[in-house]
Amino acid sequence: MEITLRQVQDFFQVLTNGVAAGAVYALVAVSFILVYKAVGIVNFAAGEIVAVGGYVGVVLANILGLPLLVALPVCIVLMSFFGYGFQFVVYRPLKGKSFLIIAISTLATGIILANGIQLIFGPEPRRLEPLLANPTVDIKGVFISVPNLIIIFISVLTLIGIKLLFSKTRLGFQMMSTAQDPEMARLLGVNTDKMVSFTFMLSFAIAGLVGFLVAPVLYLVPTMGLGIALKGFAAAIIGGFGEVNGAIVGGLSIGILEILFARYLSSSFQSLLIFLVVLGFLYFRPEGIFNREIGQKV
Amino acid sequence: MTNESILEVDGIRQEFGGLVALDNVSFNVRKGEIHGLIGPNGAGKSTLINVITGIYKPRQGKVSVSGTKLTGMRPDQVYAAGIARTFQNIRVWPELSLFDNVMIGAYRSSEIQPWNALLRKKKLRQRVAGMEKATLEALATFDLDKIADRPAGSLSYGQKKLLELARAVVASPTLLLLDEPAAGLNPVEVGNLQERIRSLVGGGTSVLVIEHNMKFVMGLCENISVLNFGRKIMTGTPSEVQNSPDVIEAYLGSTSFQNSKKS
Amino acid sequence: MSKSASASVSSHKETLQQYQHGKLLGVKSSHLKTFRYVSYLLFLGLILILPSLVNGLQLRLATLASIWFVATMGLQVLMGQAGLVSIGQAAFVGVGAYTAAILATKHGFSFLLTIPIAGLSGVILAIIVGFPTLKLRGHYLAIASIGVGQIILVLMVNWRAVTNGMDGITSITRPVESNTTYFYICVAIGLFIAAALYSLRKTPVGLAFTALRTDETAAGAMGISVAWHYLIAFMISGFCAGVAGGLFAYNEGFISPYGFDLGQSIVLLTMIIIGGLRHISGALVGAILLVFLPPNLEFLGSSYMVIYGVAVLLVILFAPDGAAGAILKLRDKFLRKISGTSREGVTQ
Repeated sequence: MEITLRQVQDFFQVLTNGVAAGAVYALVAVSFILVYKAVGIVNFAAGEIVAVGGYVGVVLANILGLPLLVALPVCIVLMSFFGYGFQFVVYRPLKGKSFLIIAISTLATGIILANGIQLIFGPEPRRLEPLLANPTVDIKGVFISVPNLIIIFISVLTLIGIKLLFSKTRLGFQMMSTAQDPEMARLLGVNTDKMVSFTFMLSFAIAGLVGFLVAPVLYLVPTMGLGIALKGFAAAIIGGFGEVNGAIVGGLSIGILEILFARYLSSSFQSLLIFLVVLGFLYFRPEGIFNREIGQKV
Repeated sequence: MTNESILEVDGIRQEFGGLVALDNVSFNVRKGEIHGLIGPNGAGKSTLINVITGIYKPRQGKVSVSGTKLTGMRPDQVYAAGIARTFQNIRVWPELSLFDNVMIGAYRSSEIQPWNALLRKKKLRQRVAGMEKATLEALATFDLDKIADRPAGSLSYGQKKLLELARAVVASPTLLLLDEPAAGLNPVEVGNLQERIRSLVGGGTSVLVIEHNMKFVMGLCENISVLNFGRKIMTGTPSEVQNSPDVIEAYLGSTSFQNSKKS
Repeated sequence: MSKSASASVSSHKETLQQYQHGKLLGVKSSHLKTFRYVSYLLFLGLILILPSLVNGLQLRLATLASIWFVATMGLQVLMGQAGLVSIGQAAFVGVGAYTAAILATKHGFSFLLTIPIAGLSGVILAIIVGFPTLKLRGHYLAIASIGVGQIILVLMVNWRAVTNGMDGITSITRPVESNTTYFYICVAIGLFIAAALYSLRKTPVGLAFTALRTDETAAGAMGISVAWHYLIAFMISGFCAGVAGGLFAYNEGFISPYGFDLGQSIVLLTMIIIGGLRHISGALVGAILLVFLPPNLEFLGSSYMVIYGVAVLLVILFAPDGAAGAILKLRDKFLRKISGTSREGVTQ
């Protein structure tokens, strides 16, 4: 079988799309893993929060007419406020409650958000204009979509920023020690309540960013949260549930894998593939790719 | 007392995120003895209990009971192998009655399959009757049978400790692990508890007891192992332990030990 | 044990029986028994005469309620008793429905065979999903169950050779022509499963579920094999869903992927939470409430799910015993009144 130049170009085009999708999944996974690590809550509304971010973008850019470069930071700030408020609904009143109650509460919150969006904006798809006007750039015959390049660029910057926050700054250390051992952190003088608030704000800011970034590529629909959350959960499981590095690798692998599978094998069964991969991990390597032991508190 | 070991702990090492909690810990509990496990706070005593009962998987070393290797077993398999425990911070099921709490300890899932509820009801009833009998006997042993229908959450602290003991002995374990059984009890209750533990040993159970209350341990145990910073300092009789310079150093500043020496 | 101990054993067996018959509620056990018999009889009587009291649409809804009652009972065992969360119950219903529909239409299996096999298909799916996830922490099942929901949907839509895609499977003929008889069949199956689950709850297996729900670590240390009992609960849940799916397929005569999506899973979950997680009867109350309520929510359009979300959030936070819990509280209050006792007076 001969491989033509066209096929190679096509492959790279598909690959960039996969990397862009993977970067989004990685960010989603990081977003809810931050909260999971800090307070032990799996946020089943994670996808809907991304959707809220996208619709906040729509309000700012399309309805209020702010320029996109202004709307983006405003959206992120608003979402971090939302995160600050969110903890007072589904975290602080639920401290010490069972997993079931917390899971159902976040799930119900997700249902309220998705259907609330539908009540306000209707079921028809919305979209944001891309940050740059040209739809594609041509790199040696490989046509790469500019919104995807922007997604990759901003995602990489964000992930580097998060890594730096946790490895270099005092705030990052305090957030991390709060997540690992709140008792000890309190003894060392860390204001753990404040750190939990910061974590929620950071998590929601990332989710808002994701919503804003995907809005030009995917159309925004009220029910979009589910698909995004599932990919984020899958990325987290592959990454060992609780590991930021793992989530990044997990997200990228899923994005690339699913898009290659859809392009070359079957697009109708692409979500089946992701599910089988996740199931495979659960069966044979539940601790994730980096083989981190799943600890248990007694 | 025979020299036959019931529990063998051999070279256990456990770490959490780079922090070494247990380092090459070995000791044996002989058949029919009450063995104490002491050490300052953070010495790794509870971690060791969690390793023995299968809640933690140790990085190195192995634990065996009566020659059966426990390492790698799940907690319920360890229980089935004849090791029952109590918890440092009492863990009874508050919304269940005393009877039901102990019944859970008596329940062997290998004997009751869910479909027995539909088919073979007679067989189910026979087996459940056996478990109920054991449950009522265990409750009677700790004088809890008269209030067996109360929810466990309504008990006093001392009664809950007794309930945990009743629950732990209902399946006639060969080894009982007691995690700070005397904590929070008044002197009368402590004396009472010592008697009860002794009578259990008379009934054929060996006991490994973790305790902060030195007087309690010294008066109860035949042998004591001492942990400090995850390492075993020594195993010896109460008087050997009390006179060991290493142990005194480990406890330096710990008032509980000095008090017990004075008394 | 000594003689005195064994004597007290026999006398306390009676105490325990009284306990099971309401003494602790501050209610005379004879009153509780009578109340139960009377309410069971009234309920059965109501079921018998219901078809002659209501119109065709209402009977259809009542049949649907009895079908969702079966599916929701599975969730009661899984969530209310064992404390696990599944957000994919509709997928299990769907697998049961397709299994029954395909066996009936393509292979000519009779109703008596397809319904148990539909239940079995739910059990098998539960094993496939539960085996790897239930050894891990609770949230793995919750996440996996959403994933399973999506996968089953993808298969229903895209595996056309078997499922006929979006066109679905048509002309599934009911074993009986009369709507009334089919209603009785569904109710009978529902009550039969309910009776089985009640008796299971009274065995130590039921106790083990409660033990796991409230303290998994202690349960493990007391010899309860955690993963196995979770798997039992999940298999029961899958079985109930599968049977419900089979009944649903025959009831509708036509199935397509539409009825088995995440939205339906959330409806089932809402049923058990509003009905009352802690009680098997909560499944019945919830199924009736949610089947008969939605027509009144139509002014909200397709966003009526907002109401479900808010209701679930409020109930789980402030009244976790749900509607059935409230009904049982009223019953106890009534019985205490006619027994002339106060709660404190009896429990000393």
